[in-house]
Amino acid sequence: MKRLSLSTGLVAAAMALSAAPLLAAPFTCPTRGGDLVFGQEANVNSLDQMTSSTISTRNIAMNIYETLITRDENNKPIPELAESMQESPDGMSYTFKLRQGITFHNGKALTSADVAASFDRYNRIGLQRSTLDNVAGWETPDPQTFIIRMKQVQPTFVEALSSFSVPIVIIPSEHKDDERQQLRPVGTGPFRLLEFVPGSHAKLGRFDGYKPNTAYEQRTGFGGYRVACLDTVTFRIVTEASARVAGLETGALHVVEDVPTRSLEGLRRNSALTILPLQNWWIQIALPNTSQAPTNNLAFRRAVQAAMNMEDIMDAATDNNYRLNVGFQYPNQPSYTDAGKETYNINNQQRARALLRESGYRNEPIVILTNRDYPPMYNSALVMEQQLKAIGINASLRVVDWPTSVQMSQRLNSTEWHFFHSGWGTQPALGALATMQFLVSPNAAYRPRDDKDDPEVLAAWNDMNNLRDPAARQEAFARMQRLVLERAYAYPFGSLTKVQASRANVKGFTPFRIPRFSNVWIER
Amino acid sequence: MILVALRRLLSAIPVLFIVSLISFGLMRLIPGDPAAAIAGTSATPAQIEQLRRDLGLDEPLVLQLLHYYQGLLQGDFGKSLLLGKGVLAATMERLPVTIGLSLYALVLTLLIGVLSGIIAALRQNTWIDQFAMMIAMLGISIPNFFLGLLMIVFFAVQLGWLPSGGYVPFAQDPIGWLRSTTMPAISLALLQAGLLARITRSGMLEVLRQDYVRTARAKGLPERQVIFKHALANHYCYQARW
Repeated sequence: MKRLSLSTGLVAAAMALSAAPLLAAPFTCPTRGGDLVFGQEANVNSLDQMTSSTISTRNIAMNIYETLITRDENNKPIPELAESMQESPDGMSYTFKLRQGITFHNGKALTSADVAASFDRYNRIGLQRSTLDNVAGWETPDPQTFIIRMKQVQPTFVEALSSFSVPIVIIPSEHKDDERQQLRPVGTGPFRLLEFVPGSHAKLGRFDGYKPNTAYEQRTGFGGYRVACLDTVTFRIVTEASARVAGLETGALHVVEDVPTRSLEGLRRNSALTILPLQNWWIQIALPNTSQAPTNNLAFRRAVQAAMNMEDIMDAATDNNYRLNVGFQYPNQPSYTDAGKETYNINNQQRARALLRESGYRNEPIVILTNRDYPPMYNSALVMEQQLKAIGINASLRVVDWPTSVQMSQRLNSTEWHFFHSGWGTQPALGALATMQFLVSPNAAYRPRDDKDDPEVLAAWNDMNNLRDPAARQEAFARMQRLVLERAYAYPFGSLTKVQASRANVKGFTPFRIPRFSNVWIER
Repeated sequence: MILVALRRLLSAIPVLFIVSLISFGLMRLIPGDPAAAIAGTSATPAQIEQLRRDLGLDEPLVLQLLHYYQGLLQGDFGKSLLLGKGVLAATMERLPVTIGLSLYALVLTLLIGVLSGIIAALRQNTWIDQFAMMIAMLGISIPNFFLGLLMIVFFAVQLGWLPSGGYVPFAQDPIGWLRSTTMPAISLALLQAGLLARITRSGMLEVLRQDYVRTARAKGLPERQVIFKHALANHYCYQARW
C-alpha cells in the first residue's frame, strides 16, 4: 500500500510525527479550573452534529465530538481519532488505524465497530450523506482498523471526509439508531455535555478520561494536542448584540461571539477586555440571475461589474471591518489564486456605461434581492443599488427575510429578482472544492436557465474533482474562478472580519471557525 | 346548566379545527423556508434540500396536514423545528419561567400603576401629579426592548447592581431569581403600569368627588381609610371590568 501522498502531504507528515519523538513539550495548563461563560449569538436547536450544518450547533458539538480526520489551523486535513491513514495505490480504499486508549464520555473504549456504526448512521440520516455517495462500503477487520472501499476513484475524498461542515462525528455504536436531532450527546472530545436547554444554554464539563493526540504539541484547527483546563464551559444564547457587549463588560460573559463594530471603540478603551478580530470570516457576495433578461446578457453583467466600488460596498457592509479579496479563497489558504483579478474592483463608470450601451439595456427595472436579517447583506445591497443607479441602471431593492430570500433565489427560472445578496462563510473556509459547488448544478447560484451549467465552467469543475494530480486540480480551480469572474457569474465583494472579544484574564482563546475551549484557561 | 356547558364544549371542537386549519395553512403559505432558516447561511442548496426532505417539508400540504392531525389525536403536538424538541415538552420547560416572570411583572404593574394613579389623583394638578403622569406616558411610549437595553446599560454595566442577563431558578436561589428577573419584569410591567396609572387617576378623581366620600371625610374617618376602603374599593369594581 502506498502512503498517502495527496495535497494532504501534511497528513503523512502528521503521521510521521506520531512515530517520531516530540521535539518540544506538549501543552500544559498554566492554571486549571473555573467556569467560562460564552455568549453565543445564534440559537442552537440540536447538538446532533451529523444532521446539522449550522454554525451554532458546530460551536458546541465540536468541543464534544471528534472525527477520524479533521482540519488544522491552515485548513489542511490531519488525523484526529485516526493514528494513520493509508490510501491504496489504486485509490479504491482507505485504511485507518485508530489511536489507542480512546474512550467515550460514558467510559466505553473506542473501537472500529463504533466508527462503522457512526458511518452507518451518517449514511442513513446525515445531512451531507452525499459525501458517501461514492463509497461502496466499510469494513472492520480488527478493533483498531477501519477500511473504506470506494465505488470509483475520488481524488478529493479525503478533503470531503475531513470537512467540518457536517462532519462524521464518531459516536458509540449503541447510539447508531438514534433518530434525527435525538442523538445522545456522547463523544470522545475534551468536554462532555452536562446540560442542554435549546434556546437557552448548553453546559459542558471537562472529560477527565480524555486522551490528547500526542502526535502534536499544541492545539491546531479542530484537532491537535487538546487539553481541557476549564472545569466547565457554559454556552449562553444571547442573540441581542448589545446584551452580549453588556455581559462582557460586567463579566457575566467571559467570551462573546460577534461584537458589533459600533461598540469596538468603547471596548478597546477597556483594559479588562481583549478584542479578537477573526479575518476572513465570510465572503460578501452577490449573484446574478442569468435565467432572465437583462442579467442573462454578458455585457450587462460586465457593466455591473465595472460599476462597482468594492471598498465602498465593503465599508458599508462591515463598518470598515473587511479586507478586499480577489476570488473565492483567502490569501492564507494553499488553494488561493488571484485568477480573474482584472475583473475585481474596477470602479470605472465610463467603462460601465459603455458596456451598458453595448448590452442594449432599455431601463428595465432591476431587482436586488436582499434581507435585513444579516446587516452586511442589506448594507452591501444598498450601496450596490446606488452604484448601479449612478451608471443609469433602474435598480431597486426587494427586502425580505433571509429564509424567503433563499427560497426565492433557488426557484428555477425565477423572474422575481436579478441580483441576490448572500455571504459565503463555511465553504470558502473548507476550501476551493466546497466553495465552487455553489456555482454548478443543482441550484448553481447564478441560476442558469433550466439549471443548465455553463459547459466550460462545468468542465473545470469536473477537473477539480477528478484529476488525480493536486497541482492539476488547483489549475482547474484557477480556471473555473477565472471563467466565473470573467463571465460575471458572481460578484465577490471582499472578506468580512468577525470581531470577537474576551475578558483579559481569559488566556489561550484564539478565534477560529468555532470557539475552541481546549487549551484555554482563566488567569487568576 | 350542564347541557349549556356541554353545548359550549362541543361547539369548541369545530372552532379548534378551523383555527388549526387556518394557522397551519397560513404558516405554509407565507413566504419563507423553515429549512433555510434552520440550516443557516453556511448551508449549501443541497443541504437545505436534504433538510427539507428530512423534515417532511417536501411532502404535499395535505399529507403534512394529515400527519399533523394524526399527531394531535395521539396527544403529539408536533415538534418545534427551531428548538428541535416536542412542542409540549418545550412549552412545559418554559412554563415555570414564564409564569414566574409574568407574576412578578403583574405585581409590579399593580403596585406602580395603582399607587401612582392614586397619588396623582390625590395631588391633582401639582408637580407630583404631572410627574406621575409623565412617567406613565414614558412607560406607554418607550418600546420595552429599548427600555430593557437602557436598564442593562445603566443598572448592570454602569452601576453593577443587577446582572446583565441569565436566569436563576427560584428554587436554586430566591434572591438570585429576584435579581435576574427584576429588569425583565420592569420592562414588561411599565407599559401596563402606565396605562393603569392613567385609568386609576381618572377613576379616582371621579370617585373622590362622590357624596359618600365627602360623607366619610365629614364623619372624621382617617384619610387612609377614606382612600383605600371607600374610594378605591368602589373604583376597584370599575378597574376589575377594565
